[in-house]
Amino acid sequence: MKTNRRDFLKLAALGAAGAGTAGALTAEAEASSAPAEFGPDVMAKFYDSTKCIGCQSCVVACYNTNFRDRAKYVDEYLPPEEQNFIEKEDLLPKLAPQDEFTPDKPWLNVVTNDYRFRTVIQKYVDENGKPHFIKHNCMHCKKPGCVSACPVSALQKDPVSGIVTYDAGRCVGCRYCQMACPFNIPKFEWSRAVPKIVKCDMCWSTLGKNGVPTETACAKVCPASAVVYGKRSDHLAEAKKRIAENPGKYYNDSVLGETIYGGTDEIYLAAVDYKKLGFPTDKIADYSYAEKSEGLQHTLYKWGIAPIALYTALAIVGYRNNKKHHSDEGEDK
Amino acid sequence: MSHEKEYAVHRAPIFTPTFFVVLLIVLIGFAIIAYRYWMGVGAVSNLSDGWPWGIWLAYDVAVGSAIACGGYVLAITVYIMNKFKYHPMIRSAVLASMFGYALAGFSVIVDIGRYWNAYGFFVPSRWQPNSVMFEVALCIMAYTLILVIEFLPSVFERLGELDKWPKLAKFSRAVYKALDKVLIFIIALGVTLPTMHQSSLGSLYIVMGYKLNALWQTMFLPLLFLGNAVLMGFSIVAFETVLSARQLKRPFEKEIVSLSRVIPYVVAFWIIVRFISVTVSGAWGEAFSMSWLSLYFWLEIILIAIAGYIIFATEYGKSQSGLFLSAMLLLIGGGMYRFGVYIVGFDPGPEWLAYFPSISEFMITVSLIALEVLGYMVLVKLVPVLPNMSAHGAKTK
Ligand code: SF4
Ligand code: SF4
Repeated sequence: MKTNRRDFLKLAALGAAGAGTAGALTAEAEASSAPAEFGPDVMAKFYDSTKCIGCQSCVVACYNTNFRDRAKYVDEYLPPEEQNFIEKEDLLPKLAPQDEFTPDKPWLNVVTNDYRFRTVIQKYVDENGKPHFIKHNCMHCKKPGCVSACPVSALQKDPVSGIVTYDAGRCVGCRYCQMACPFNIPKFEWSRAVPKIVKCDMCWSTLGKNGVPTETACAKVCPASAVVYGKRSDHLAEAKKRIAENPGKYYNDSVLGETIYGGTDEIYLAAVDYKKLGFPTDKIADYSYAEKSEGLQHTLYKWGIAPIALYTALAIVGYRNNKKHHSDEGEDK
Repeated sequence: MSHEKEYAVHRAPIFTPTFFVVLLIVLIGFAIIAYRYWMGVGAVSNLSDGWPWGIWLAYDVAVGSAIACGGYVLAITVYIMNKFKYHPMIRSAVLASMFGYALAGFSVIVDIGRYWNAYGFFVPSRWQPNSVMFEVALCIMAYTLILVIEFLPSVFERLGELDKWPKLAKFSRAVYKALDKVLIFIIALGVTLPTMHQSSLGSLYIVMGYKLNALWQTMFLPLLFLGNAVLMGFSIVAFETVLSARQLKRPFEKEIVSLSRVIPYVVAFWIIVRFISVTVSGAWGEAFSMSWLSLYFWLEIILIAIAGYIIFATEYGKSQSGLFLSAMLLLIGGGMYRFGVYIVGFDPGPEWLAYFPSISEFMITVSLIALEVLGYMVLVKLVPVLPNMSAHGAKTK
């Protein structure tokens, strides 16, 4: 009888510890879910659609740097232990047959991001026949859905620069990041046996050699200075200044990226409704859904209390019932 | 001990024609899976960057693991609610659950692109506890292990009866006894873990925000998924009971009828929460818009409500066929709810072609189900899993 009780306590404690671990872990991360403000050194790209001439130089530059010549940049700093054959294979640019460029489908007609193009320029013609251009790429959100979703920390937000980076060496390819991104940005290499997730990382992994880059491929080549790279606070001030100097020129006199989804590191100005330019601004809220989901998880699993309590209660009730059942059975005979 | 006579091996030949048909389906599916590993996920599926999750997750993981909640529901009933008369049904339910979760596990391995990195789930520096997926993955892996342990007694019981190897038999009897003592603590874990991950299978979709239609998107997702898991877990137990009575020509286990009495209350609770969630999301306009989505929404609720009604109010609901029908309605309605969240209510935006699974995608799922069926068919004939009708029938009288 006595031994039984001691065994019971031991086992119950063991089980409770196990059940609580996941919950406790979740609670531990609580601090990180609070919506931090934008730091002073947050880097951003600033794209002014009214300056863009649609030449797509940025698209070419990004393609060359981050897709075609990726191995050249990355090989330099890739530590030898990571140069196993799978990671090597990852670096080689591989075009799926259906994505090859043909004369009747020159690659500058590419209009959506895919595993080759981390950025694209789209064209929208308004009611008066006037063309507008818009650049699409990762928004480097303040509270990114993709980072919150990734189970193995392959996607991370750099705490200083705010750049959302991707580490293929960790990614398991579950594609939860694609599901969680409100802008549908992360892309997957569907036609490769060794696929990875591809999205803009502000040239962190190429020009920046896994650090904050001093320039991005796209901003460097833009002949019209439509896209520039620098500190987010400077960009935001500049955008506000342009709006103040040209009232009515920009749509709603508003900056895209200031508040959408809780704010993003990309700053946009455009003359027409952002919705028409392909941003679901009417559907995306002013907060990040990741905050909601993490908030819920942290409430349910605070300190792992709920799972541990549940387990302990279950173990006690189950143990009693089981013992009673066995002794009843004995009496029957 | 009366324990040992509670279950019996189903004595029948293993290599029946059905066995070979099912085996063929498994082989075809595995050929396609081999092709997927050679050519990439895109070569066999209709998945796209807008629709990165398809039926492998919606059916195999979400619906499959809900169907596999039979073991969960019975464990609660028997050990927690102290209804030991259902004890004879537990082993077959645990076996089915084990295969259900194995199915989920297999298809995840087919689905994920960089499977060789999956060990990262066990590397603490990579843990990302904010991710609902992280919790789901760990809980499901742990629970699959628990299910295997819960199933082990039947294997050791069988091994303990073997006269050919007395040493092995003696060892097995010892293990069986030891296992019997601690099993309740494993079972308690086997109730805690599904409570956690079944609700989290719903929480997975909260971060998707507007991409999930307002009829489904709600902070109540975890609660709704948990209730749904209980409903589906029950119906699969009822389903199995009736089917195995017919297929294996065994008498009908009457216990399931009295077990079914709680179901209407769960149904009522679930529908109330569902309606509250639609109210909170302000989606009633959408619900009465007569769009395809709203029809789907109503069908889902009506199927579940009818099942609750049949069991609650009619005599028919207490008969074998009535129970079968309501279990079927619950399975379809409950499955529709999970599909509603995972695929039907999901919409990444107008620029993406709507997703419909390809034939190979479908075949892979079918073949994994076939594998599950095959394993179940073989194991019930090898180890004592099904209720021992002679001993058990006598006891209830
Ligand atoms: S835009 Fe998408 S991919 Fe980029 S940081 Fe935000 S959630 Fe992540
Ligand atoms: S696909 Fe890779 S990067 Fe995206 S969530 Fe999964 S593990 Fe993280």
